[in-house]
Amino acid sequence: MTDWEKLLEALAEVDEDIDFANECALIDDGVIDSLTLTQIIAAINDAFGVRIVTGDLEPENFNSAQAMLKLVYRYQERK
Amino acid sequence: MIRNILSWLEEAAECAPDRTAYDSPSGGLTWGEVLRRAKQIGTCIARQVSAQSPVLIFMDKSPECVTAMLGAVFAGCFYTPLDSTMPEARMKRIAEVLEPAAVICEKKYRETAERLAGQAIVTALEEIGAEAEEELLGQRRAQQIDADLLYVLFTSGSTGMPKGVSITHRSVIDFIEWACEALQLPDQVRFGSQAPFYFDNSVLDLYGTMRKKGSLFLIPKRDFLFPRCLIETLGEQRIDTIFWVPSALTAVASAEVLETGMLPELRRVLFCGETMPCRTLNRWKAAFPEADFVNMYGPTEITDVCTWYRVDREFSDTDSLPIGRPCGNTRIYLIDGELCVGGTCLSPGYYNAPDKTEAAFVQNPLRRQIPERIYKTGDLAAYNERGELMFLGRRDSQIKRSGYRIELGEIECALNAVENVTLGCCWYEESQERIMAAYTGEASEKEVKAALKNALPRYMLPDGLLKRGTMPQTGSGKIDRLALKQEVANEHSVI
Repeated sequence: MTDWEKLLEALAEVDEDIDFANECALIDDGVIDSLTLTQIIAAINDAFGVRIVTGDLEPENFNSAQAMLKLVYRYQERK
Repeated sequence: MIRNILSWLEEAAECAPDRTAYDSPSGGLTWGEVLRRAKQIGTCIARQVSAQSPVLIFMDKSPECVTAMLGAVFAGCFYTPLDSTMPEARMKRIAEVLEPAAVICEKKYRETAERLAGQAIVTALEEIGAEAEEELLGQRRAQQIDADLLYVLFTSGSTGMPKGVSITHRSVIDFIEWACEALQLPDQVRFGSQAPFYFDNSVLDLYGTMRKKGSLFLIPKRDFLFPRCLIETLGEQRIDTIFWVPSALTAVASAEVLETGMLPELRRVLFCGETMPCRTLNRWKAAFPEADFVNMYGPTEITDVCTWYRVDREFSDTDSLPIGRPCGNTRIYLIDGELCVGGTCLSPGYYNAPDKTEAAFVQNPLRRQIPERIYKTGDLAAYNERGELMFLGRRDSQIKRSGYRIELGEIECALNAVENVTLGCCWYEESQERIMAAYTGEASEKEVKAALKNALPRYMLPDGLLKRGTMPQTGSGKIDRLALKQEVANEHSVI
């Protein structure tokens, strides 16, 4: 399974009604609320073994699944 | 003594017509504009319905939404702001209780609004013209008394039917006059608003601002997802007072974005709606040593707040913060440990629900000689050795999440209503702050999850959902909740 598929699978677990593969304004359009964001961060942390914390986050990191994957890679490089 | 909150608006519009009143990143309205627009909307509503009618407001949080609420008041009516993001099924139940006479909506919500409206006339705010009929509004005003309702806000109900808490002008006037003085709100206070208008924490934001001729910045929801953006907004907007739920303050504190010396304008950090962890308080205090920190407590039924505590000493991270003492003109009784409230702040009752009203608003047992009602909050409290009230928890199955009141019974009702669910049960896993649900029946977990999403607001959705073969029962045939909780806990500890 590619990282992209792994991410989409984790995100589908959070909310399967959101079209994570294609949406690119998840935050700006208000698709994601605070509860969902917390669940997304937890799901990503679980799936990729990273420790993303909310403090250093920018909205841009969560507008699309693409952006989330980039964020994961940045975290993995830091390790 | 005023008898209508509109007197504050008229005063602000007279003294400071060109000063910003309510604003957001996409624009704002001055006090003069708010008054003019509210009168136009009021004229439109007054031509449709008689005084003291319920007006449903179906709009996103915006300065225009405030003018719609105040427009209803100009028409001699009362308003109910609706959460525009909740599932339509729940909106329907609210509309069933409220039976609105008029609905004011944003154009984009017209279709949904029409489905909810029943007999009511639906008007899109954008279509209301610039005409104000002073004579008509004057007639409505002359008939009004301060015991007339100002708003009805809906909270979770254990039977699955949301409860509409009705509040009068008199209660809001009483509360706001006290709050402005006790909290030392300055003239031209600059509030940063977190609370949605359908949540009663917004009452202090909206009317405190009006009373002090200040301004209220409607912070975009998205900022609360990203603490760094939030801090930037507070700085840019020169916010000096915030009244937030502790969850919002905790999110900022744990993101570690607070630094001593930032946001020099911020002077008042007020909170209410759930228990404030001292760990959060201490982080905020360290960043804002000069600011006032005030813990407030109160259910919607007593108009926003009924006890308060200004932080006046150090607490360790693991201490509990007092909820303090009664607000002015308010009396607190502890009856069998339950916190009960008496005073002008009391709601006259749940709208259109006499049985629910009778159960919660009862004769004061200590004053049998005259009819005097007190409100039983369902919260347990006690006095500490300093004579301050301490919150101890709930009597029943009500819980709080991000300040929202949730009756587990309402979730259970929704669960039991799902097709092919035989028996459902909900409980709260306190240590993990998780809402858990279990059910028996043919339905798959996926189907149940999807059905609940269409029935409940997001903050009510269970965090864990378990399909069970059987449900443990007590001797009387009820679900044995303790046994179920234990069963689930054991299974999970094995994993």
